[in-house]
Amino acid sequence: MWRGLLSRAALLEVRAQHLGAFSSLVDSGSVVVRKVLDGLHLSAASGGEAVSDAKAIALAEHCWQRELGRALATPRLTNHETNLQRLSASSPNGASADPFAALYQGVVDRVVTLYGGLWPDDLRLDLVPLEDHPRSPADAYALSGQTTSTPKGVVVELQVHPDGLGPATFLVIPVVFAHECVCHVVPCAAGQLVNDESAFAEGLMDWASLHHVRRWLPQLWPAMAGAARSHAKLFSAVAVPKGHRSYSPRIVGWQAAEELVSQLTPPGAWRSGCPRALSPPSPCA
Amino acid sequence: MSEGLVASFAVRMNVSRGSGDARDAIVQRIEAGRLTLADPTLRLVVVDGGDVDELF
Repeated sequence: MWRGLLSRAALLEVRAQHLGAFSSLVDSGSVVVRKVLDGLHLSAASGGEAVSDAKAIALAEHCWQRELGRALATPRLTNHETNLQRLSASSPNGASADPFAALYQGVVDRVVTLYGGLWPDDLRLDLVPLEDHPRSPADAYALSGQTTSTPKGVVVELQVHPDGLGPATFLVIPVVFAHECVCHVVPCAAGQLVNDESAFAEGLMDWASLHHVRRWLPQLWPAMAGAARSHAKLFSAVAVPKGHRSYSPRIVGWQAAEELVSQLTPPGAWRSGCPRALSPPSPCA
Repeated sequence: MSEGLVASFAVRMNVSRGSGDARDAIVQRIEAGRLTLADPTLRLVVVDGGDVDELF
């Protein structure tokens, strides 16, 4: 199971700059895209018996190159499908030995700067494969997160449904880590219980974690930052804890955050990302 | 800029003393427009390191 997850993540990581275009095609119904995804599934499973993780990744890469070649050999690719040809031109340069750990550490290094001495020393990451998609109806993001306190310290769990680890899911892994680390790690280390119904913890703090991770993405992973920033907000809107479809602590917390932003924004001022010279005369004016 | 200040405020509140219920009540009051950042009590308990339960 680990080798399959690792290989999938590694295949996607080295194609980070193309994941935005790839993710936009996944639900297109295209036969070619289906073949590319089936090839990813087959290739990730190819290294299960390899002598090392590195060998498993190399085998998976070799296999997916072959599968991509077959899938994209069709003479009549649409304009959108031709974007998938870039997936074949990947380079293993800059690949991590463990993409999950690399993404996690990148986020942790930033979150530590927010909390300083309150950050726990005994924090660790646990990768948990899920048998099914974590939400129903299933969305594009087959992952979730959880932070728990154990006798050996605080554990951040990344819960992933392996078959759903495609481009969209990979792009939001840093968002899950940011949510768990910004929102839950320090309170958990202080002995507080995580409350999924909290408008503060799941709403206002989620808004803050999104703000930070969208700021960090271009610095940490510039190749996928644009697509990851776009998916971050989409994911955060759908990844509401189970059982909260009618009342959303997330929405209440987000709205409280936006209310505070409004209080801090002088009348007539422009919100960040809305430059005066380039913006339309309304509604920003 | 404003977003950064609000994100900093949230982190401060996350490490402030007091109960989760009090934090939720603060969020709901802010969302309803009944509590602003200019409120001196809010500043005292959240920004200056007080206890969020003291707001109620």
